[in-house]
Amino acid sequence: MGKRAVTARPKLIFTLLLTVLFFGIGCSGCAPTYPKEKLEEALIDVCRKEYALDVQAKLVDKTLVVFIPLDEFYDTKLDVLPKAVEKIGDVIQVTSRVVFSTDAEIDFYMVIAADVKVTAVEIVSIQYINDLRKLVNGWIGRDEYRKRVLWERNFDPQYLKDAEFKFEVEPVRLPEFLAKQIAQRINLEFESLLEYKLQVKSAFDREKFQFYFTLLASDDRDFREKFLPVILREVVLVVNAYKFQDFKGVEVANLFTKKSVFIEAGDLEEYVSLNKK
Amino acid sequence: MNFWHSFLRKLKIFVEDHWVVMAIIFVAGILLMLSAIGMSKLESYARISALANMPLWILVMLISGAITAFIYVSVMFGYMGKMKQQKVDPSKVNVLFSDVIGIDEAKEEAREVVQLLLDRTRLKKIGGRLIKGILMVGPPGCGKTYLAKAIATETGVPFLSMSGSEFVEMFVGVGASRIRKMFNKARRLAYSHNGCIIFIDEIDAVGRVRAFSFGGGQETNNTLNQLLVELDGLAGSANIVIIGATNAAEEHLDPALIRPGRFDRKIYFNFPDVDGREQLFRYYLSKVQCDPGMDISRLARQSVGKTPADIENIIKESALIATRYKKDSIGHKELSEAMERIELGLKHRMKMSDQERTMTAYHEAGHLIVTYFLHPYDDVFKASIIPRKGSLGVVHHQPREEFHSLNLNHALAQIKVSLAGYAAEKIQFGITTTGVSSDFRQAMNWAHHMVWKFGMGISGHIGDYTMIPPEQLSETIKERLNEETNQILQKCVKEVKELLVKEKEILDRFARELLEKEELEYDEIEAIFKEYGKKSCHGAA
Repeated sequence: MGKRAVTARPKLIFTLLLTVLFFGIGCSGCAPTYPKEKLEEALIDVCRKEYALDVQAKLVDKTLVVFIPLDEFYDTKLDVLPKAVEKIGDVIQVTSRVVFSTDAEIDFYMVIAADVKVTAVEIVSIQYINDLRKLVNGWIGRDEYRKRVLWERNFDPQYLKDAEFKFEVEPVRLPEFLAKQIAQRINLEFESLLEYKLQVKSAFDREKFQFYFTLLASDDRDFREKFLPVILREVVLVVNAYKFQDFKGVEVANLFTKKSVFIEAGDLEEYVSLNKK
Repeated sequence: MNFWHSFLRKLKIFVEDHWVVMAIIFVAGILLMLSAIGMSKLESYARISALANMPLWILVMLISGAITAFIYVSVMFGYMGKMKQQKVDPSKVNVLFSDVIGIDEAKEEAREVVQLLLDRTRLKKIGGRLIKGILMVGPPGCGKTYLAKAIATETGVPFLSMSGSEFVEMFVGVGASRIRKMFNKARRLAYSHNGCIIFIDEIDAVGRVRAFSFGGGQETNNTLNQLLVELDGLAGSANIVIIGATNAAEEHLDPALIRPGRFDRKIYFNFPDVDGREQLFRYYLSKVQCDPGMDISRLARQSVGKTPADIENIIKESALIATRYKKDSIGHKELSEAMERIELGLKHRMKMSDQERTMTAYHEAGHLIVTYFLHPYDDVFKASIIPRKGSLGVVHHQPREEFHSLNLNHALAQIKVSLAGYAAEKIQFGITTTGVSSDFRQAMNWAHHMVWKFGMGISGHIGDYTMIPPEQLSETIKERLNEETNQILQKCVKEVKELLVKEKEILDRFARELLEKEELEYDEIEAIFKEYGKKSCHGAA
């Protein structure tokens, strides 16, 4: 009589079946839902099918630009209509889904909602995909994320003439995005600190490789003692959060006194810590 | 056709045995399929997130499931119904009949059983009755379990191995339930593999004579009853053979268990004879490095009454000793030391006074000389005055061959050897020590049995007087028998004293040698006697 292993073979078959099933599921998860070739098309399609919204979309370098033409944007008090807010929110949600499930290389997405009927005002929202990932994975909080999303409001009478969006926008790059974000954070900070509104504008000077901030402060002492520390503190906070080191320094100019201050990147931390004391 | 028939049978049994597992796998498979379909509808990001989290979910589920199952089983069943049923894969046991040495008769019986198990169809055609059970009876270490393993390998059928004690529980019904489970499993295995062997080691744990009284015996009775019922139930087509092994004498087992029709065949194991021991030494020595030209027949003679397990142990122990001496191979010295360590125990280095040592040396020399001159059957292999196992010295003598019945000369020789220590002390010092107590016990035991039990007394009384309750024996008889016992002892001690006085020179010499060397080996002892031109009573010198 031969020697047998009674149950080994069926067990092996079951194990193999399970393994194949797991691998099948695993492999099916690898294919992107929105391949880069059909990215814009797919986004437009989802917006139309799921939210009955007609949008336009285009990938500009590594920035996905989505345009929402709105007929009803503002009420008589020039407040944004809830319906418009809802539509912008829906498009942002769809765009987030699409950028996560594509193989296209996208760093930013920009959602532009414009009143093409009455005011020709546009609201632009710029979001960094890595920030969105961090939010989804719970590495940053919702409040922090809100601070990282850029919001701009512009006026462009061209909308009233031609509702067709031309996508003649500059792709967003990280240094510029950070410069704008720092300015947005500073303005927010000043709003809570000061009784009056102080507008700080920002840019990233690609020739000098530095952040450039401007403001109008009549009192030079205030500029140096009150405003400059806040600006530099926010710069340090943001560049550290993004681990951004590709800059030489920060220049802050007071357009009122025509005086400016330049701090080298290496001295920023020290400057901030000294001013804290 | 035959293949498909066999395959379908196995499949049927497999499904019956594993339907729970299969159902779980089926449901899990369906759920996985549904999950796969659902996931395919998700966007790739959500899908990847789910897949990334899946191992963690599975791990958490498995851990929580295992904890729940453990708590449930522990609380609800307390492992009571669980039985460690050991299904042995014959191919892994790998003990062949050729490996079973020294128990040739038992092996032949077993070989026949294997043949019957394999030629079942032929036997049925002839109309022969199938063997249901084999009972292996014999002292421990004689190879019962080893032979059972060989049967498993040679038959190649599934082999269920259990210990009798596994059926004994304090809860009524558990043992019987385990018996039922074991036989059910055996029936299934026999159905799918055309045969199965159940081996119950130490069957006396469950098969001892039933006590028909209230109390603790109830559970054992139930278990045994179930075993008997199951043995009767084997009359069907199932090709199952049950092998029981026990160290207990047959009369300790329940008569119902050992009657024909249950354990039909009994295989008796005995200590291996001189040839068997020689084969065993040869077999185990072949597995280790040993000195060439070793006198294996002398080893066999030296190890009377040793079981195969003892012999294996001797070889193992001698290998350890050789390693300790930093030797590359085992020699006779190591074997002798190993045997001595097993037989006599470890040496204790105690501080003894010179007088104590001298008295011990004379005591042991007395034993040695009397054994040499007066014992017709034993050889002296060693004399020592190194304390061991609570004695201050020892003379290691062994019969040259095993005897199954002892005659008068043997009994008298045993008494004389026992009294020789006392006589030597008396002759040399005029006084004796307490060291004679165990010798006296032995001598008295022999003399008492000679008179009271074996009819070997001087007056010619015959019969076993120990059978009669002491209160029914007359005082006269008792006095007479005790007197005779004393006479035997006196006669023996007189003879021993005469011998030792006559051989006083040799006695002194051995005492001196022992004091000087502490131990004397067989060869040294023989050489000294030869020096004096003496021969042992059986002419071995």
